[in-house]
Amino acid sequence: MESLRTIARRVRDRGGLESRIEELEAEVQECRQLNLRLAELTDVVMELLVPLADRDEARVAELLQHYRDSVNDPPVPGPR
Amino acid sequence: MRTAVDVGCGYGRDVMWLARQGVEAWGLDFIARAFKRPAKRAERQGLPASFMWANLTELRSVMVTGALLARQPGPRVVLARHVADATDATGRAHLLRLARMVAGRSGRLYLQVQIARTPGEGERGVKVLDVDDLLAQVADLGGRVLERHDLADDEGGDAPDSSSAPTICRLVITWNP
Repeated sequence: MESLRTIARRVRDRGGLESRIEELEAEVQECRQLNLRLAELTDVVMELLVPLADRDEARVAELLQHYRDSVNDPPVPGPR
Repeated sequence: MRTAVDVGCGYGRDVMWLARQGVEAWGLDFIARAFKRPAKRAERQGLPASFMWANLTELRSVMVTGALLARQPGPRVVLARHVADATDATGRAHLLRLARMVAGRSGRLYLQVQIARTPGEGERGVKVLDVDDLLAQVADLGGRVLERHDLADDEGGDAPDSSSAPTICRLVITWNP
């Protein structure tokens, strides 16, 4: 039969595991966000690196606007 | 076509053939030793063949190579035979980015990938690709498929109605909307 101390340790460990999973989930989410930002930035750089004659200017404008929107401060909420 | 870029050119056989036809031909590979000899031969014979080291799994290499080749005379075509199926998902995404930069709106990307194992053959260094996944990657980057041919290995690309099951897929892709 397990001692009370062993059972108490197991319960404590499980609590630690849950908080560790929460931490890891937050880190995975942050990694996803970073990958998304990197892909957006790569799109912009890729379009800007090609010569003017080959550049899709409408696409460049669209990418820059999208990138600008993603890095700007969020809009200030208006009065209710 | 004024310029052709062979991604994963290996020993540069196709690059040298294209150069002999008068095309400005470029070969890219991540094993520089492989194209050392043909590069010297091209220089000796005055052929318009050039070779460059590039690494598809390294974004900086892809961007700088794309920027350099986008300055070559157009229209430019990109050839990638069994490259998308020899690299990972990141390498495939980078290959498509490179092709988009190089081909621009007037050029094309010619891809050949393995879609099933050839009966009785080993792995040959390539993986079997899910074409739908690849087509989704193409669409994500704004590409459009102009032609698709699923062929058996023994067809050599010329006989569309073979009794053998298709093992390779050839795609022609444009970035012209």
